[in-house]
Amino acid sequence: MAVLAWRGPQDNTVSIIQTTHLYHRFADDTQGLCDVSLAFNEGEFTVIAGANGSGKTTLLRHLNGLLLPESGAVTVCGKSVEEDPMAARQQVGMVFQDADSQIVGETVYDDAAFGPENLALGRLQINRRVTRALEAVDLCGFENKRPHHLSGGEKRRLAIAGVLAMAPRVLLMDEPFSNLDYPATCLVLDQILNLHSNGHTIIITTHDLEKVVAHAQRLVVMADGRVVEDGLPTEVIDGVARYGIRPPCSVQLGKGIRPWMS
Amino acid sequence: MDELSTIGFAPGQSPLHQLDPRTKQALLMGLSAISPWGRLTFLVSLSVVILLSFRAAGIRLSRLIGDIRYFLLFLLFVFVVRTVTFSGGWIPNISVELAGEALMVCWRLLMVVSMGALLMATTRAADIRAALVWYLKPIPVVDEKMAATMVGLVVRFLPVILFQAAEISDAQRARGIERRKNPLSRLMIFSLPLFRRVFLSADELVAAMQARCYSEHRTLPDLSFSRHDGLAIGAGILISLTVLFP
Amino acid sequence: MDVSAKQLKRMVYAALMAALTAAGAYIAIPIGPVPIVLQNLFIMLAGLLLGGRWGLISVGVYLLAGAVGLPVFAGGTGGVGKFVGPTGGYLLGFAAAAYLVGVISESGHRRVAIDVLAMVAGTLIIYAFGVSWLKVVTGMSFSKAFAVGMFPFLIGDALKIAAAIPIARALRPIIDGSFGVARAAG
Ligand SMILES: Nc1ncnc2c1ncn2[C@@H]1O[C@H](COP(=O)(O)OP(=O)(O)OP(=O)(O)O)[C@@H](O)[C@H]1O
Ligand SMILES: [Mg+2]
Repeated sequence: MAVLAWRGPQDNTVSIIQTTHLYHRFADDTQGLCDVSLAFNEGEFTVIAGANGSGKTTLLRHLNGLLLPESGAVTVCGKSVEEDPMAARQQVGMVFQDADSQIVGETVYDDAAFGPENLALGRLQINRRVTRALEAVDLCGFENKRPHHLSGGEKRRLAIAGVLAMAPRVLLMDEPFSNLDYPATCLVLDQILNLHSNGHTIIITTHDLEKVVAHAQRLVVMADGRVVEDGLPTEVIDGVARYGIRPPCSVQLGKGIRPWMS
Repeated sequence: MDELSTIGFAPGQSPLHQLDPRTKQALLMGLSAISPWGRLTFLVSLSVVILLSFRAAGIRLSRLIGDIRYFLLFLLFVFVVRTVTFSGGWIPNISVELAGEALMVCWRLLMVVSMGALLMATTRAADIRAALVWYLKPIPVVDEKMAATMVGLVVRFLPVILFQAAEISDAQRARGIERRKNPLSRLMIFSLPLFRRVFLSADELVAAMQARCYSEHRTLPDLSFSRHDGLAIGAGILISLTVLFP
Repeated sequence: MDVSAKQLKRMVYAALMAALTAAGAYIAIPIGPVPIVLQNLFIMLAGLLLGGRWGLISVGVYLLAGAVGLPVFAGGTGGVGKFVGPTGGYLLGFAAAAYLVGVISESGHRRVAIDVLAMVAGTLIIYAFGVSWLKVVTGMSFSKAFAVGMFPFLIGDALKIAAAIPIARALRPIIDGSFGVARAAG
C-alpha cells in the first residue's frame, strides 16, 4: 500500500535510493546496522567513510537486496527492494571489495557478458554492451584473456565493466582503491569521475578519504553501524578523526580538501 | 602450473578452426566410438586425415609427441604386455600375430588422443562450452543452463585454487612442515585451509552472482552451422564406412 | 533465503568442489618416498560434504568439462584422451564413488563408522572401474591388473580415508551454516 501511495518526489531533487530506519542483525547477534536513514539523489557522488567493521559493506548490501533488513525499508526508484530485488539489482550495480571472487567468467568477455546474459538480452545487444563497457574501463582487446592473468588493477576494472554492462543508474563501489598502486588508482578514479559526469549516481565506501573525497559532493560517516555525520565534505571532514578515519594530508596541514591526483 | 594443458587453443584460420564446435565434437565422438571395429583401411585413412589436419592447423607433430609422451609410454606398455607372453618358466614368447593385434589396439587409442588434441587446439573454450550446452539440451534429467554455468565456474576457479594451494604449501614449508612425519596430519594440515578458503569465498561468489541478477533464464551462447560443417560430416561418414574393409 | 538463492548456492558449492577435485590431480604431498596425490581424497570429500546427489553433480561436471576438451585435466593428454589413457577407468569410477559415498553417508546420518564404510565402498568402486578398464585395454589377467592398478595404492587410500573423517567434521559446519541446515541435537 505504501508503494501505491507514493506520489513521486516531493521536492525537485529525485532520490533514487532511500533507506528508512534500517536495522540489521547478523545470525550471531552482531548489530550490523542501527537506524540508518539516508536518501541518495540521482547523479550524486557520495562517499561513505568509516573504520573497519563500521557497517559500510553491510549498508551497501542492503541497497541491492543482497541482505534484507531486520526492520526498516529500502526503496530504489520508489520501489521496495525486498519485493523486487531483481529490478533493484538492474538499477544498482555493485563492485565488490574483493574483485577476485566477483569475476565469474572464464574469459574477460564472458565475465562482462555475464550480467547482460542474465537479463536474457539478445546476443547482438550483449556484444554491443560488452564492447561499450570494456571501452569505458580501457580493457579493449582483452576479450579473450583469462581473468587470472590480469593484474590487480585490471581485475578491478573488469569488475567495474561487468557491472557497467548491465547499464545501471547507480554504482556502488566497496573500497574500489584497495590493493591498487598509484597508476592503477589514478586510472580507476579517472573512470569513476567519467561515469559520474555521464550522469551515474556514485556511492563509494572507503576508510581512506585521501584519494576520493575531493571529488565527492557528500560525505557520510559511519561508526558502529550508525550514520554519525552526513553533509558536504568541507563541513564534515574536520571531525572525522574521532571516528577512526584519517583525514587527508591537505586537511591535516590546514589547506582544506585538495584533489589527490595531480 | 600456469597453463593447464600445453596443447591449448591456438588461434588460426585452418579448416578445422572454421568448423562449428558441435561438428568437431560429433566427429570426435563418432569416430572414437566406431574405432574399436576399425582395421587397417580405417586406421590408415583416419591417420592421413588427422596428419593433414595437424599440418593445416599449424601444429608441429613434435609438439604433440612432447605433449603426450606419457601416453606414448603407456601405449608401449600396452603393446609389450599384449605381445609378450610367458609360456611356462621365464622364457618370453613373442608372437607376430599378437603383435599385429596389439599394434592395432595402440593405434586406435592414439587416434582418439590425437583427435582430442586437435579439437582442443582449434576450438576456443567458450565455443566448447556452447557446444556442450547444445548437446545437453535434449538429455532429460540434465539442466543444460546450470551445467553451462557450473562448467564455466570450474574453468574460472581451477587456476585460482591451484594458486591458493601453492600459496598454502609454500607458507607451510616456510614454517617447517616437512619435519612432521605423521602422514595423516600432513594431509589434514594441507587440505583443511584450502577447503576452508574456497568454501568461504563461495558465499562471496554467490552474492556477486546475485548482484548481477543471476537467473536461470539466461541467454545461451549461440553457434551456427555452415556449408563446411556438412562437408566435414560427409567426410566423417566416409571414413566411418571404411570399417567395412579389412 | 528463497529457493532460487539456495539453488544458486548449492550450484556454486558443487562447482567449486569440482574445481577442487580438478586441482586435486595436480596436488601431491610428498610423504615418504612416494608422493600422495590428493584427488581421490577430494572425491570422497565431495560425497561426504555435498551428499550423493550434489556430489555426483560436482564430479560429473568435472568429468564433463574435461571430456569435451576444456582445460581441467592434468597432463598433456587432455579431453577424451584422458578417458582412453591408463586413468580412464578411474575417472569414471570417481563419479560412481562420489555418489555412493554421499548416499551411504547420508543414510547413516554421518556417523563416523558409516562414513568410513562409505569411503571403503567408494574406494572399491573406483578400483572396480579403474582395474576393469586397465584389463580391457592391456589384455592382462585380472590378477595382474589388480597387482598393477590397485595394490600399490591401498596404503595411501587407507590414509586418505582416515584423513577424510576429521576434515569432513571440520568443514561440515561451514557448509551446513551456509545452507541454514538445523543440526539435530546429539
Ligand atoms: N556474515 C556476518 N556475520 C556476522 N557478523 C558480520 C557478518 N558480516 C559482517 N559482520 C559484522 O558486522 C560489522 C560490520 O561489518 P562490515 O563488513 O559492514 O564492515 P565494513 O565497514 O565494511 O568494514 P571494512 O572496512 O573492514 O570492510 C562487523 O563488526 C562485522 O564483524
Ligand atoms: Mg567492507
